[in-house]
Amino acid sequence: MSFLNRMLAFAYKNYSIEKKNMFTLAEVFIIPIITVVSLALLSEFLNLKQEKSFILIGAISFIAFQISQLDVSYSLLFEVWSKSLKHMFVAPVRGVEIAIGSWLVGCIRALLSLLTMFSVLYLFFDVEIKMHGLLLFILGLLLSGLSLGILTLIFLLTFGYRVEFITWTIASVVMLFSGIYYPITILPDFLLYVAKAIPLSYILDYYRSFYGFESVLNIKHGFALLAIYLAVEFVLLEASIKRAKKTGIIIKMSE
Amino acid sequence: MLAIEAKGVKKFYKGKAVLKGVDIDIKAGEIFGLLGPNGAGKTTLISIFATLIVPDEGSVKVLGYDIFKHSQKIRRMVNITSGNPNFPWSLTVKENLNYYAMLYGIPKSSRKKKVEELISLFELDEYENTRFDELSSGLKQRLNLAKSLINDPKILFLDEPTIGLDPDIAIKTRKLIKDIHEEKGITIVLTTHYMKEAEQLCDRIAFINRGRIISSGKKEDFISGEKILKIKYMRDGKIFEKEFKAGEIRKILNKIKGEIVDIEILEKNLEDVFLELSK
Repeated sequence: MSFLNRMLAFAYKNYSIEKKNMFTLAEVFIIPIITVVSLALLSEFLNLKQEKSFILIGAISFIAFQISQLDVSYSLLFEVWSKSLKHMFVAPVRGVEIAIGSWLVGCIRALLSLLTMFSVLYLFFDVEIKMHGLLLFILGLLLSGLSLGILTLIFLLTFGYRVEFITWTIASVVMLFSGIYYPITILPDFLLYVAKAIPLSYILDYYRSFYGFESVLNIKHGFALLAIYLAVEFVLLEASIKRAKKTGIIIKMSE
Repeated sequence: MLAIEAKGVKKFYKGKAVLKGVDIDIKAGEIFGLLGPNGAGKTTLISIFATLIVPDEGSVKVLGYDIFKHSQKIRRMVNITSGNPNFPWSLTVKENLNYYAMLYGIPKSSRKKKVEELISLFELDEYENTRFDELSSGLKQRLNLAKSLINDPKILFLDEPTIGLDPDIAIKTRKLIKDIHEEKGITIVLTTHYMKEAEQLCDRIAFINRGRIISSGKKEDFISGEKILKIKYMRDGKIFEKEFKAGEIRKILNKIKGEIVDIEILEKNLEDVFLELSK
């Protein structure tokens, strides 16, 4: 029960802060709408047919993936910005509770954003939403966000303030190699290995196959990679908390 | 029973020693003061006791538990406040207390009651829906103390609890600390560089400077209560000045061959002791 309460504490904090914050609301509704509408109009201007759905699925995926990642990162950043980190870590919390609790709110925000984007594309741009494989696709996106979010937490606890910027840039690096706007097959051979090491590449490849694009990756491998990454990251997160107590970074970031 | 038992505690940052082998015993139920100037190592030591920092050498037991092996257990039984209270800015008083109650795993059934009790105890009722960043410094400090009692701690660490506060708010905060100790009987470990604060609050004190405990004991051991008379007198047109123990007044008056110009009563306080010790 205590574990559940502590986990929900992070969900409660993120929810209570984000509901009052215009920027976090914009992340869910305004930015996603502007992004997909712009890309849909660009696709029409370029007279793209099948490629239109390819690009839009990529954009939708990236946004949902990033929102779920951001919430995990915010669990620590809200405390860092308020200089209250030590109050969080003086309580008997564990890394897994921080990550999962905040991710739950990230999932809700990402789902709301997905619903909004799908609705806009369906109603105004005749983009068909394939129900087949949709659940696995969304699950993959959210878990990928969790994985990247935990990586951000590890960086923050290890290097402190100076790596705060990676919260917003790390997802863009992933975007470059996971085939958000182009198939990974166009990447040079050595980068193809990088693409294959990113679970998001598999999730996108899987869902796009329902739109008639050739699948070159196996979704099972994507989820297996996610499971391995998450297991390793949870261990590293606990280790980075211990290390932060050794280096005194928790106190430094609370001053 | 000992609340905290520390032996040979050392801490280094980038090769520089912040604590150079601290030995300290703190008894359960007392208010223990760690006194020292800025940069003496007070916050580092208290953070080690609160399991926020891991020492590089030495052993520390908090409530009988080793901080290296049982930090999770210890964290359930301690809490901390600091002089510059900081909590998530946009959370209200009530939201902050709810959040911290959840962090300590307090179930929903008792959480509501606990939060309401603390809001009422620290007279925050009127501000329960006010955001943290909209509170005055006095109210922030009250919320800080309320938060520190959310898990009914057995040990409360107060790190410079009145630093930067206006004098009237500092006085109120000290009274609150005293009241909390009297009502709950919990062990309080307090760091301060205000000697007056330590005189008012602490049962026992330790002076820390440059990472070492330079002296410790009961407050009374440092302040004997003995008064000193500083007497200025004139003889043959010259002014002389001498200090005598107040109990020797009869003898003094017989000794002084001249006209007394001024008498000043001096009382040794912790500030004097600290200045002597840090020489």
